[in-house]
Amino acid sequence: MSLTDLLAAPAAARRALDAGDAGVVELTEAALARAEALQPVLGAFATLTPELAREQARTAEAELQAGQARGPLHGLPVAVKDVIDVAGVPTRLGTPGAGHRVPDRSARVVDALIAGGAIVIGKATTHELALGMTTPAARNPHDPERIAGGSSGGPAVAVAAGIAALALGTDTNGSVRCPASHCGVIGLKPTREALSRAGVAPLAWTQDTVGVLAPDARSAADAWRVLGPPSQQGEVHRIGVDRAACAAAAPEVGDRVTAALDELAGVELVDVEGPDLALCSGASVIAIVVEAAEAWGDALDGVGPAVRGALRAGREVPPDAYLDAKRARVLVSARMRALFEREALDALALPTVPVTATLAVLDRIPFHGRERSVESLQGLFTAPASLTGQPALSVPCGRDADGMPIGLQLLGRSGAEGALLALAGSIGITSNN
Amino acid sequence: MSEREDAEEATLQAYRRLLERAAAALAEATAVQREADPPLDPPPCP
Repeated sequence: MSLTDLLAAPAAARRALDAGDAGVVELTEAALARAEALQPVLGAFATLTPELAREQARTAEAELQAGQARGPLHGLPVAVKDVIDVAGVPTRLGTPGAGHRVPDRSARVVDALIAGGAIVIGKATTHELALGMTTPAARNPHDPERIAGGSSGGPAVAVAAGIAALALGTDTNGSVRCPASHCGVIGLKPTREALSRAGVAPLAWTQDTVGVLAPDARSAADAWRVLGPPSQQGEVHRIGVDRAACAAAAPEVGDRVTAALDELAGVELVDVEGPDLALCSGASVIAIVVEAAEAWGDALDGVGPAVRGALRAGREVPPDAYLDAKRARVLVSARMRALFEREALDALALPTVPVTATLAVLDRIPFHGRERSVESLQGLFTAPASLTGQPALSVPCGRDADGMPIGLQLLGRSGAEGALLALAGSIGITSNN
Repeated sequence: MSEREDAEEATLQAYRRLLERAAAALAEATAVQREADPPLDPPPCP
């Protein structure tokens, strides 16, 4: 395999590095060169870190030659969303000025990546403050005229374009899962607090979660073994299928998701009534704008006009509305827990996003007979797990007629990331993606 | 009004409408929780 091929196939890259068929330094150089070459079209990176990457690569290569492999990420190039600190590298949050800093220390989750031998090649683009779900700076590798999704658009693009073997993002209302769906990669939002948020810029403190993007389920599982807490147990035997959510999606999306589930072998499917999506979406958006306004309300001069408008709106939300959002979170969590217990579920399945990636020039699209904003559609199916805090991932399950990827979302029980990733691997094998 | 101010105002108004609708729906949907005595505790996630 060429170095370019290896960048898109982390497991094969690891085998090649271990066997001495490829070197960490040359793989890193290939990643940096590919990032630079694709940047004008895809905009995946806010900052490339060639000096840091080359230093890490030389160390990692020497360790491998000495027989001191650190694990499944050793020598693999990774991208880090530009809301997560890397020591000595500017954190800019996608803003014109708000929150800019050069941190002395890396985020703990970045420390864990580096301790695992990964090579940080750059900071990936984000929707401004992570408050938005299109990431205008980035474009979809499957069609650069279309959105990458967001807010972790750059990380998803870096992985989907075969630049990075792995990327870190953040997910407050679907910001890992939605771009993963649009770009055709795995996007894991772990159980809340499973990964440290130290060194990660806040958006909405009750929902912010660090997540992982990878080209395939096996690579994501390798990353999770390095980053996640130990003793991940369990398997998925019984999946609840939210048929109402499938029907509420664009027909191509809903049909492909249900077909991918029907293709699964060795698991039991049961139709269930899923969460109240409108309630979840409303509770999530109120919590996010209020908490974001608290975090960033003093920095209005350092953000763009759209985010400024959103933060101003967040300041105006009456306390009663915020309290009702917190009450709704309690209700949604209680109902979700009852659903999993009553139906003996190991996972709940629904589409990740109601639509595939739309043209970047469109702010609104026709959807089920009326005009909807592209932004408002993005988080509709991802809000429930953002409220409950349970793990959820998006796995590619096919493409629409335009060739754009479709994501299937799986919600699991707390701490069951390993089980979800194992199931995602089955979907990747059986679906035409 | 500048283009920048237009964009900010448009987003502000869109969010106001969205948040007002959401708040009204939440007030109705959470009445059972608001009136519970004692209030429902946040359960652990599934």
